[in-house]
Amino acid sequence: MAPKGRVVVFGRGPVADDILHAAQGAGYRAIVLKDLRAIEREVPEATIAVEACVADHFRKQEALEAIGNALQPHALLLADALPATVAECATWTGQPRLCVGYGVVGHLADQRVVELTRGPATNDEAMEKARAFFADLGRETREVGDRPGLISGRTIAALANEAAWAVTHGVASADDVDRAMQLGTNYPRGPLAWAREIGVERIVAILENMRRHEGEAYEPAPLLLEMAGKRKEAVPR
Amino acid sequence: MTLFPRPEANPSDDPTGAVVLAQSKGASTNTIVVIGAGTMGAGIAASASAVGCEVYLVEPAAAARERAAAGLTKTLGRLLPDAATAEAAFGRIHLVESVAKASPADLYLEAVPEVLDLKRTVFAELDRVAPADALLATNTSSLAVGEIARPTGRAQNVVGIHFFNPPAVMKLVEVVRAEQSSDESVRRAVEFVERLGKTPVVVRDTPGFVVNRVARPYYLEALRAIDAGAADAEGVDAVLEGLGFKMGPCRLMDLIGLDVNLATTRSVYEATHVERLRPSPLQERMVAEGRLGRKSSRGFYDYGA
Repeated sequence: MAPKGRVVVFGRGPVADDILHAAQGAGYRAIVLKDLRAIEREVPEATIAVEACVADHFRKQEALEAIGNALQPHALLLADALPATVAECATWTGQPRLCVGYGVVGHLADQRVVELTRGPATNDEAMEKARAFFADLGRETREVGDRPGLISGRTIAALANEAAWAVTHGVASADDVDRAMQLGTNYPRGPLAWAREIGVERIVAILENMRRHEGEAYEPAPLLLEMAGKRKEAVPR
Repeated sequence: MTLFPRPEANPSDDPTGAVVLAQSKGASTNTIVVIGAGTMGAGIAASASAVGCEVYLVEPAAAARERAAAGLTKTLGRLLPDAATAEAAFGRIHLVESVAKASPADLYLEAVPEVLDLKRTVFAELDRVAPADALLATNTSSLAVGEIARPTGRAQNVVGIHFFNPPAVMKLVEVVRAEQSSDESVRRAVEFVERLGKTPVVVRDTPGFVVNRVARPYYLEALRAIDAGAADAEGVDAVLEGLGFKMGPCRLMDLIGLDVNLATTRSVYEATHVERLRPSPLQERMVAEGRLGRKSSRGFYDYGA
């Protein structure tokens, strides 16, 4: 099998690791970078660069600027479009034509369909390459509009947030809320257990993205901030 | 005192197990009265008779009683292993036209439509006729249990026992502790739910309790995405079903009925005024246009005429 090209993934956590392994399994030469300083050396070799930062806004911007600087003009840049809009990401890269947003919430294995979204300048060729890449990874793709959190991230983050507010308001314990949701609605997981599995920090980042663009309605519940380690209080179970 | 004893350990080698045992034991003669023989009331009656309770199912309209009887036969046939046990369970359900015609019971469970005045009328009557130590429960999904209990002089004996549709099948039951509910009442409600073989989750008396509140964003975020033109219903459903949800939100709203779903959102929103739970203008428009889902042949999807 002819090599399919070189994939450079930047980031930590399940999204970065799963894309790396799936790409390797599909015949790509793929590596993962966890250090900004490695970008300058590795990204010029990439046919596809994948940004998968689980980090604050500032670090994500820094990473995308570095990747954009190092990227070849015919490469594809896939930006994690859940914690920031692809319009923002594309601006930071300085290569907005090559930048496509993708939505993988947690483990890739749990997601049969991957959302793709374009920024104002994204070209069709980049979209086509993005579709082909995820098809190689065994994923169906859907193009959706560039709204904060897309559909997958918004839904899971908003469910986790509502569950957390319910716990905060003393409606039931965290475990009981999860149990009730699984038995009462057939959700694949309880919203809070799901948030833990994805990484509560990521859920909070998605909510903060929604809040930044759409207002205080999406303020993360205090319980989520505690679970994400952003406050010192103990995590209630 | 244990009002709803679990069946004793099986002394025989009866292979049909606990359900049949419960029916055959004299210990399970406790009596419940269910008020309202709609989908919820009839389903609750079936679940209770299936584990050996004597059930009085109260329904004033003769036609509705006939409909309920037909539905009960079907539900019990599905719920129980053979025709004989289903028939015996059916024999334990007594369709009566008023609470006064029922025997005194351990538990009175109200399952009339979600109209506060209607429910209060039922509870005022229960206050007059139910034994002093009876547990009084409402199956409300959207009203405050404390409000429903108000006409009674015994709010400490009132709790919510909220079943999900279809009640004979769904394992979850929310036991709602209102401000004045006693610990003993909550304990008895939990015991009753466990006796039915279901899983009780105790929740505080707040708008939408747990499930109907926490599920709101599943529908609302889908509606907002579609309203913003970010995706169509099929796209939203595909993405979320791809994440492991059994049914995408649009397909699910079509099944539930958009009007019913909107009413739940409204009731939670109007009781909380939390911006993130504000009903969707798209859903309001669809309901106004009669696009209610499967029952009107058209919702997010077309279902033929």
